Amino acid sequence: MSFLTPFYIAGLAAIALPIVFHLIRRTPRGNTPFSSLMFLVPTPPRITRRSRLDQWLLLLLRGLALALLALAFARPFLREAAQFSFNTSPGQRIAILVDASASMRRDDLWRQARQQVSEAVRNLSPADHVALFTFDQNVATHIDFSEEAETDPKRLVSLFERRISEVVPSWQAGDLGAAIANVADRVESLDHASHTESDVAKRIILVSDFAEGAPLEALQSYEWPAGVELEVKRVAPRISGNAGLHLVGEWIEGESPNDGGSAAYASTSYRVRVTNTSDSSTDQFQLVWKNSDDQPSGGVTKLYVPPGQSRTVTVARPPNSTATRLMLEGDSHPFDNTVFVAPLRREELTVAYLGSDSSDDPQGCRYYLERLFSATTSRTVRFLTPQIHEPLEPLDGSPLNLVVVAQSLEENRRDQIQQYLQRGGRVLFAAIDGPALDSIAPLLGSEAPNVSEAKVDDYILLGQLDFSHPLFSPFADPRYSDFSKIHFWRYRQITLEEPSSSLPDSAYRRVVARFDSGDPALIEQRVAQGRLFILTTTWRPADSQLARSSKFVPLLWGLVGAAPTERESFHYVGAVLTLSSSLGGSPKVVQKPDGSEIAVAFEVGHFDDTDQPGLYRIGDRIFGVNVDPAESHTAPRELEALEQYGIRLTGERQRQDAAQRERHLRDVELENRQKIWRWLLAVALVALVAETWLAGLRSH
Amino acid sequence: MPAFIDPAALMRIKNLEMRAKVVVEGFFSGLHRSPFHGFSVEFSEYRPYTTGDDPRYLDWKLYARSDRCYIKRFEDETNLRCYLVVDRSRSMGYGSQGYTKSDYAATLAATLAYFLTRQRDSVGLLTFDEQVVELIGARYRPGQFHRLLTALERPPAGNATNLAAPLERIAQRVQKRGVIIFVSDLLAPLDLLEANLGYLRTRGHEVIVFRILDPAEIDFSFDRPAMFRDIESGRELYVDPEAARRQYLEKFGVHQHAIETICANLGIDFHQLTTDRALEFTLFDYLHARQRRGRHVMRSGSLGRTV
Repeated sequence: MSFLTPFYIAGLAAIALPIVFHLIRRTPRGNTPFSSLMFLVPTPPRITRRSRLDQWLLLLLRGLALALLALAFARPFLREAAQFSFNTSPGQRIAILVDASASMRRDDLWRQARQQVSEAVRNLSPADHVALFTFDQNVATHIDFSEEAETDPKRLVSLFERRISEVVPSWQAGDLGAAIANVADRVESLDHASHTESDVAKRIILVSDFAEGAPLEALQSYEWPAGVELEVKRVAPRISGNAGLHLVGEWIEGESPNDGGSAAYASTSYRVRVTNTSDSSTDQFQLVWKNSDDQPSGGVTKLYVPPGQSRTVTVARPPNSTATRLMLEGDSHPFDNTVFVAPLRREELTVAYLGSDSSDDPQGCRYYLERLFSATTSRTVRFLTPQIHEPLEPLDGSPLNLVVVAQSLEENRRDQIQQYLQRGGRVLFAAIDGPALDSIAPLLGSEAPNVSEAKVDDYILLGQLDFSHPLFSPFADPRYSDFSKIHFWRYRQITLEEPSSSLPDSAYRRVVARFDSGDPALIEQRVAQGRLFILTTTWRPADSQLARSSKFVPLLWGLVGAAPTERESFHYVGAVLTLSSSLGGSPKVVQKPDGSEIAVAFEVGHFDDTDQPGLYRIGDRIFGVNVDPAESHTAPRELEALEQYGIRLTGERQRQDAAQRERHLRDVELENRQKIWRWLLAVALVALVAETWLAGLRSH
Repeated sequence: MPAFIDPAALMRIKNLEMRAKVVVEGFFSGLHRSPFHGFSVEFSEYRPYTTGDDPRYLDWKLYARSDRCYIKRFEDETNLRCYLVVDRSRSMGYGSQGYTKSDYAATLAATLAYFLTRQRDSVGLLTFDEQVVELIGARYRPGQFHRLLTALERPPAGNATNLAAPLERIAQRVQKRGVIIFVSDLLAPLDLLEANLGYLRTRGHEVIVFRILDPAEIDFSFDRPAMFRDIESGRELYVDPEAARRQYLEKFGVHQHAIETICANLGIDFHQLTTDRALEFTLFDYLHARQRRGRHVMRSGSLGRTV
């Protein structure tokens, strides 16, 4: 027996009314004047005898009538009959999204996450549809809705448990916002795909540590689908707080070593930042260098970092050490306590200049080139000026990166350049005048290009630029694409035949830049594997303002081929490693930190399988790949942060409320069917009639 | 039996004089059929002359007829001096019959006064509560009756009842022997009552006590528990009549027995009246008492004259 409006049961207290009235009747009303109290003694109110109930039957009948009235108002119904089905609801569409970022490697978080998944699947009703996703930088689908639909419902739990047990948290940073948006889209888009009604309740169960470091910015511009709810099942480690170690900067102390290689280990300093989360309980840490055998190397740097703060310190690698790892000790969660540092290596560049001007002549070309190709901390540059009788390439056999020509070419020199080009070299030809341009014509594969000095009234600008070309692609951004401030006064016109389609790819030619008169400004000509760039003007002050432009340096460094500076220890897990073209033309083998080797084709030019922190060896280069600093911010984030993005959060309480509402509706329905209150009312009336009759009988 | 007037009906007559007259006239109209008719004036008061008697009182006519000396009594001497002592304390203000004991007592006093006045007796009045309130000397003159009525119509005011003080005052004031009619509920301590009544008796006064009680005071016929408030002192007491009745009646009986014992010891006529009793009976009681007193006096050779 249950009650629809149990509040009315309080009316049962009215049964006490007849008794109370009886007792009230017995209490003195006012006072009675009497002539003298000299013969009276006070008597305590005695209720035993005077309050004795004489009319038990009447009292019972009245109490019964009142009780029945109260019960009738409470609208009783029988719960046992509540077996008609409410399972005709269409069920829910639930996406379980599990955080598999590096911070989930802490403690037993992953075990908790698996439990949460298992629990969520167990709590499903048969009509629900469920899918399983994990995310770090990207979202991975482990079980999609269609696979779930084909699975026997009895095996559903074991399927989910098996799949989630196959997943291991990655080392990547988790893009929480993007993952939520992605999965919400998938849950929502199923409606459009299957043309079903969208009144299915849609819910995302997010199993995550919901750390502060997980970015939500992707949700900023995302319009949350109206029908989707998000339920966060937070997992938390037993020990709160986390300290992280991250690389901020590196440099080589002292003189630049000439021999490069391992000598660079000797004198490198690193600036690292140690962060400590606000919910941490420890504040004493130490930094230790360790070599590949996990043996400590050198001394210990002690640090004091209060919770919620960070400290940046400079640590030098111990002299003559082969340590490749800097470790933070004193933290209970070690996943982000190691920084792998690649040996800092100076790149060597060799540039040959063919020209007649001297190095101190600001009117010439060489003056600007020498200053442009100067040494930096990360690279050394050899600037060669081979004389007419000297060979083009250096005698010691070191590779020549670039040849810049600013004169007319002799025939034998032209042959040397052609050979150099065919070996894969790069040549920039700056046409100082018409005859000089004429002298390079044979390399263009065109017998008689029409070359003349152009007539420029005042000045001319670069008109068309091919920003898809690697040389200009760095300037493709509108912020950098303004070349209109570079004025040209003199240039050489060259009329080239359209390259015939019969030419092989190795003789491919294209105009990379044109003046606004339509004449070519920069022509790229492939010669075998080499590339010849012909500039129809020069950067001499007499010809143009190019040397004074901010575009000049990146343009010419782009010719050398390497990115200006690539910091090899500043990669995070999941990053793409760019393989420099200067590394040679053969397929490269990447050795991963766990020892496995992966071959990468030359054409690919990059390596994106950086799935763990450590040192990646590619040829003679070593890349240090570390955990993203964002993952170290593991302090739990408030759930309200999600509501700011318009996400409908749901939780245990909300679901209980909904269940309560549903139960109430069902109760109303049952009560309406049974209408027990009518019977109670009828019996109450009978009791009242009997009471009236009995009372009349007694009073006579 | 003559038809007596119901006291409840009598009390509805607002005028006290009228009330008294109604009672007395009714009494006289019934008196003719009374078994007590003729006991009063037919006694001859001659007695043989003895030496020392005042010769002025010799009945010379009788002497002339019979040659015997008989002394004739003075008519003047035979007039009754009666004092009505009426309790006006607040306890007399109680009444369960629609009128109070005080009303009843005033009517009683007025009736007696009228009755005595009609017999040409002199009547005085003393009212008291915890002290003597008013004292009117016994006279027989026009207007005396109205003065008495005025004093009796004043409402009871006292907060206590002191039975000793008025008796003492009367004893001091009234030198000549007479009749003292004491009208009170006697609901007060009896410490000095016996001494003062005895004092009056020793002075030769004839004392008749009318005790006025409400029926409710005698049988304590309340049925509901209530706060009982003392009319005089205002003191309140929670009493369940069911529980307290037995003890009340016991104590009341002891008190009454004490009064009766005192009166019996002193030779005082004691009459207890309830307010639902017809007033004519009171007059009968009075006359009855006088009659007995007269016999007693005659036997003892007293000069006292019966009515």
